[in-house]
Amino acid sequence: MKNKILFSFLAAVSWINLASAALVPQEWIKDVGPSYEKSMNEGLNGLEQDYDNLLDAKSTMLEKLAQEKSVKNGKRKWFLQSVKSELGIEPVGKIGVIGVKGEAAVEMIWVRTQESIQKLQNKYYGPYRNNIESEEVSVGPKVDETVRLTSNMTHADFEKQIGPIVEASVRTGKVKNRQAFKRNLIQKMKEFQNVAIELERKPQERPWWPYKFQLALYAEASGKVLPYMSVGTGIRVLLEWYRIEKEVADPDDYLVKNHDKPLSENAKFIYAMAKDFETLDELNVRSYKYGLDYIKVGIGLGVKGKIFVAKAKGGMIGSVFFKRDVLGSQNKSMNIKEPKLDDHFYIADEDNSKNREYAYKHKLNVTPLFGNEKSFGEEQKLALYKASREHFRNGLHKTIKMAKFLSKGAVRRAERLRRKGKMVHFDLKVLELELELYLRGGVGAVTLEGIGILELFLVKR
Amino acid sequence: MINWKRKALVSFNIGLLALSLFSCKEKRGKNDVTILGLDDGGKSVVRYLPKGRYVKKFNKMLGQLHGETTEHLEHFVFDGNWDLKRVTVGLLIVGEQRFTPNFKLEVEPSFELRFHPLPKI
Repeated sequence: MKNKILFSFLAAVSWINLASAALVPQEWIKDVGPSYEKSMNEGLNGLEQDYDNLLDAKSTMLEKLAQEKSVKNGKRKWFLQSVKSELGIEPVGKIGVIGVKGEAAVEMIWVRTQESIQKLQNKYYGPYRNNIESEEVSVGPKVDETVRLTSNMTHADFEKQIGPIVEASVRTGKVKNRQAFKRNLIQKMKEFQNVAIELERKPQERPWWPYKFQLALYAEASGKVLPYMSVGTGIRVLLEWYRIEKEVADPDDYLVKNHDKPLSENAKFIYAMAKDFETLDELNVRSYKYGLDYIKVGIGLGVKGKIFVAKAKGGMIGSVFFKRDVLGSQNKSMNIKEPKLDDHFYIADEDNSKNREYAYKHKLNVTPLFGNEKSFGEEQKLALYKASREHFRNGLHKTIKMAKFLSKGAVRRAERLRRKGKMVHFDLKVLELELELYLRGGVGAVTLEGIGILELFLVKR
Repeated sequence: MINWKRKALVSFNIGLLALSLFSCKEKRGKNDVTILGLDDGGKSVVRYLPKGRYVKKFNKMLGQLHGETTEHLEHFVFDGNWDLKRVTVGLLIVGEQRFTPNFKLEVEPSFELRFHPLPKI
């Protein structure tokens, strides 16, 4: 009898536990094939409530924070401009605030509204008169120094750029050998520049184009410069290449100038990525409150300068950022003859039995990274896995539903606040969807235990 | 003789009682905030906090951080050759789990706060 009561009690408890935790559809976080469509929308009601609840909690907290009076008297020089917070998905599929450790599935950037800034100005500097230029919220990595490069910079330009960094690094005592640091950093900058030049050679007729390329480096006290992988006592340097806009407005002009030059491997890689990202164009229709403005891809770089997608934590040393032209703009040439593209791309990941079994199961080609090709993760055994672009596009297609779900929640929250008629101090400006890349090319939301390779930046219109 | 029907009914009722008690929990669960993390062994951990408590607790922490950071920045004098344009302060959630009768969960919010100079008019 006692057992029976206990059973009944436990049954009730376990039933409730199941009922109380909404899960993201398994297809969001699993390496599934093209048969995912049917189940992608199942059980979203419960998840919607959980997501709304999380957004409400965060937004309530920020609104309260904005109303606190931290500096009561006198002029005020500083203000809280934005807050970034994270949500995670654990392996079973529960969504929540990220705790002790783990990879975030969604990053949210809440930006102080113009109205709130004006109110602060009004309070500390008198009646508001002018518009304020607000800087775009960037998500720059946490580094000590950033060096911005262009493809036509000379050795002298490099020296001029890094002069203050070298001096500052020596002053801190983190770098002892000034000459070696300077020499090695310039060497890395040249290698980086060569890759950046290749990115510039990407044909211009596709709507997605690479606008930023970053490479994180780490300098030891001896002056040795390595790919940045972990926190140490040395200096972290970020090399950054920017393209403000497409350099060739008319794609036919580009063809006239470049038709004789075959695309390099890196340019083909970028071209293919850009083309595959068109799968996501549904997220750019004008009526959407959150549009897909940027995509970030984590990359590895061999010493020969070959780019591949990097999945191993120690292997991801850089990022290529893609930007999209406005949907509907005239950005495809009628006369264009596309270069012949591969139907695959390479992903670098650990060369272990688990990945080998996966590769065998899915008939993936595996190439170990040996010797001088392995410029990163010297202690790690890495391999290149041949992933399918078709799987990649299927995976991207799947993320459209995730992105819509996340942005709809943000829109609902904004609507609720609007209905209340209160002044809003922090606006959820950017939703970053972090995505896992499976070795055969599929894509899914990253779980706590995973690693985000692709990031979709959904920006509020 | 044991009245199984009655006992089954009692059992069922206790089950319902448990259900109703936890239904409250479940109902509250709708407003609970889920906290996720990894333990030292890399396994995921899930905990819940009532939304009100989450807001109150973290708002207090963020408020302190906000206040102290702003206060420091207001009095901070930077190298005259440089223009300090942006300060980013990060916070991590640190969890403590003790499976004792007085279950304890201590958390800090994982937020990144970015401060900018307030533009003068």
